[in-house]
Amino acid sequence: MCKNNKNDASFLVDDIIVYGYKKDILFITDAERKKNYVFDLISLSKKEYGIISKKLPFVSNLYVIENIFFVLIYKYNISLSKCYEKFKNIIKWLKINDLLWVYKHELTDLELFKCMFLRALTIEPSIIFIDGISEEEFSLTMKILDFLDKDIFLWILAEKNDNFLLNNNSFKKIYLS
Amino acid sequence: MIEKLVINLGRIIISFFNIYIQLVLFLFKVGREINFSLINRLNFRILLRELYNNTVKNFLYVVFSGFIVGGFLINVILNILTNLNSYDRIGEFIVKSIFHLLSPFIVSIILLMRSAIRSMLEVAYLKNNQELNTYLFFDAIPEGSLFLPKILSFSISALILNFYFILFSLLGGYILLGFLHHITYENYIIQIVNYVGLFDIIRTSLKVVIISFFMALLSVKNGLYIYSLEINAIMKHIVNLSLITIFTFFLVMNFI
Repeated sequence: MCKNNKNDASFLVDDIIVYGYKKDILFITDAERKKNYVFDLISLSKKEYGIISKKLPFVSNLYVIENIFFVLIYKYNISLSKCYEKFKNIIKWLKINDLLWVYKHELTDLELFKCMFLRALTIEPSIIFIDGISEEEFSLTMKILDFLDKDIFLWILAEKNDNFLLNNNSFKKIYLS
Repeated sequence: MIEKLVINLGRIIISFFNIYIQLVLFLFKVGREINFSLINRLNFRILLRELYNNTVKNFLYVVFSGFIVGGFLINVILNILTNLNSYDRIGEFIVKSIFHLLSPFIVSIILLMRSAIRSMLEVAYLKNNQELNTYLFFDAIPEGSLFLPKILSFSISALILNFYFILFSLLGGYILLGFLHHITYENYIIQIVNYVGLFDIIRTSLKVVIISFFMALLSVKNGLYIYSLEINAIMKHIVNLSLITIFTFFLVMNFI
């Protein structure tokens, strides 16, 4: 385990390099300091990371499906039907078929998490960064990763009282103070 | 005391005209994104949705107001002209009042009340809930992918709604005239067609396009300046938007 005392992204990078880049990592901090680290972690490398964070919410004037495939439609100019075809299996598995053509305010928290997870998957990431996660969402995440059967690593920013994460030994733990 | 009054008055007037300067600068910022933005699928989808919101959702209001205003106005004009023994000039009066003044004005007011305010609040909501961060994070520039489709859709919608307003106000006028004054449809149409020219159509279209473009630009820019979604802060901006749009409308009327 590692402890650093400064709120600086460079320290995070050092820790990540020491402990290995492609690993499941748990960043642990307290609730007050958590928000300082979110942008640091998000800004490390946005090309390779899928990000699930309240700091990058769904856009309320777009449909859920447009939000999910935002990068593919905007950056790569791919049509929605082709995007849907590409991710049809995971959409069916997540049971979010009926939620695609609604706005985000019509979703529950868990449904929103599922959709945000799918948005993170669309860029075919090697790492998925999650900023705050509930126990239910965590178990769902593990099930999705089992279903996908790909080498995707999880970076989770957690609080000190998230015991369900702290008790999980499969993560490298980095304490941010 | 007088010095303070002059300074304050000067400041208010300068800040008022500053709005136009800021709008021109904002227009340049948005205009820079025009190259690629509409080719993009996401932007095109937003443009279509905005067109639906501004045109289809306002269509019934335009039709009803066209019927009522057309019917009322043509009845009044006809009464005055028959009293003055100038019935043969009814075409000229109808074209001047409906094409040049009422249609651009009422279409602008409907767009202002229903679409510009909604558009302003939407931008304010996106900004205050950090949803614009999502655009920026995924390298989508809000000026090109959000604001530009909104602004363009206003001009296109205004053009379509203006056409329908004129059509239904003439129809409303005829239906009322047909019952009250026993005028034949043929005579009514001939009177209008004899007077109306291409220049009138260009003029009414230009007016409504300019004012709706200005309104959209102002609503998006004002939306970015709303720092709180509380009703007090919002109301101030809604009143500002309405007053400046109406003022600018009459300013445009004097030139075109």
